[in-house]
Amino acid sequence: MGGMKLGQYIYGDSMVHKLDPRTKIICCTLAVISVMVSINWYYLFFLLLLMVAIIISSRLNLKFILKSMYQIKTFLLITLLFQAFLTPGQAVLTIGTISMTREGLILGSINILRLIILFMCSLILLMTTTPMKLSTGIEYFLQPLGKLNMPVHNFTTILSISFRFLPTLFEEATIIKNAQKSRGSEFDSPQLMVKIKSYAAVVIPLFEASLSRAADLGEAMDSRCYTSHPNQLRMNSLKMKGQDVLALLFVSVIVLAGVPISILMK
Amino acid sequence: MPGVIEIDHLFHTYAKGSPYEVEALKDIALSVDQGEFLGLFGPNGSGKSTLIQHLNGLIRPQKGSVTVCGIDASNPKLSRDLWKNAGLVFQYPEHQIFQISVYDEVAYGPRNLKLPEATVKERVYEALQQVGLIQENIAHLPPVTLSGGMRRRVAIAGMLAIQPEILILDEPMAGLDSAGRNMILDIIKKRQEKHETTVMISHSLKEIMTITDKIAILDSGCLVFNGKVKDLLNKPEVLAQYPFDLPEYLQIVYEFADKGFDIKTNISSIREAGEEIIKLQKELEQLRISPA
Repeated sequence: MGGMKLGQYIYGDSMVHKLDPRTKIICCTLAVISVMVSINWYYLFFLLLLMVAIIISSRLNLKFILKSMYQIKTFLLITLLFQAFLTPGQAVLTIGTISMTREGLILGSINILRLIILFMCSLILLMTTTPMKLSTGIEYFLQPLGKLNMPVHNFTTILSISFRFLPTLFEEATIIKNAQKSRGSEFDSPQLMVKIKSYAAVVIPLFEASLSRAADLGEAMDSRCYTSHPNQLRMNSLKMKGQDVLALLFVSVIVLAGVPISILMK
Repeated sequence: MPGVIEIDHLFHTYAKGSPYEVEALKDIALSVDQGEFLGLFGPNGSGKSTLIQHLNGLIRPQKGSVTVCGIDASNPKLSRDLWKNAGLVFQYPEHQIFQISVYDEVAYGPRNLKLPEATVKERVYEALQQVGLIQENIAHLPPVTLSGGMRRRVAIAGMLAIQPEILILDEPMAGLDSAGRNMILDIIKKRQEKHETTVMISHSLKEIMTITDKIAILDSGCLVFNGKVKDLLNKPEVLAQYPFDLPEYLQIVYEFADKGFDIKTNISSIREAGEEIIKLQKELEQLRISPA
């Protein structure tokens, strides 16, 4: 038992939940491309609002997502600072030999906005798609690689197993962390070395447990004659419906029309 | 006098406000006195582990109060150091072992207490002895080379070396052989002799009944029973919910009573049962000597 984990699938019956995993993967990829290409403020804000709208309409907990976003604040801040100091331009603040520039601040802010959109986009994909469907969707897109004699089915088996064990791993990490806390590990110590040593006390047992579990699982699969072959039943369960076509059209229009317009407007 | 553990109107809810919301504890009130041994019983998911994590500061009370050794567990500054007073041994503690040698593993807790190395050494050897590991042979081996049962002993020794006022054991017997079980019973017995407080979680009522006379039963977050074994045996409506075998000594005493012998059934320990059976035997012998 425990709290909700970030990116964990949340059961629901909204339209986003019902979409084909392939649709969602394509839409996400398109969104990633458009976020990367565009540097127009209005367009990025529009995408941000769109993400919030999707989160609300699929009845995900927006407050929880925003709260978890707060946890990556250090990462976002470092991004901003690096951009601000390393971009040449009109100086705003000078410390020693390096100076913060106006252009750098703008670029940094845009990058933060981009990261937030990407973060939300990937959360929507993960939180509305079961791991099984997600790996089936990925398997579909990887199929052409099979013609080049790449072991696609092995790869997707690995993928779905790791999706399956992620929550277990999280749970185990929490238990071990609590157990080490009970022996006086200081995970919130202000001293970095103490903190690193405390986390070593979690990572080492966690690795050991995962390795032995992987060995056990491999043996269990072997003993039940696992061979790598395409899972036709799972693949055939994927069906594109009307709503998928609509969603794809909608996102394509936003990306194909939005990106050139936002570039032209500059 | 207030007990060493005082829990009052404690509630706890996991993942509040999400679809996965679970009410793990509902209005728990419990108190344990110095030197007492409390057995905590309950089916899976009844909230036992959540409850004991309140005792060493891992979970702070959301609603209600928890006081351990006079320390208010809801105060974040004070509850941080609660691990020194209440030592919690998790389920399968052998999974947390991470040091290179058994010695370092057991010394991890005492070193976090910032004790001088000489005291740490003393405590480590004392703890290893308590769990029945002979120090010279084992202290410098890597824990990976030990068997599961041995590793469990090392992990428990790691907690004993902290010398907490209260020892909390979460299913310490799960998956142990009889030698391991005896070792744990031994530790518990020694603590009882020294008048130290112990709390033990168990899935088996029979196991708790053979060790202690104070039982608390949790079921879906509610405290169903809290009191002496004797009182529990008089509550068939509670017992009926948890199918289990009575401890052997009770089975024998009940069998005697069923056959019409005059024996006291209101007992709660093996020793008491033994005394009753010897008394009965003597009475029967006297009857045989003077049948008239």
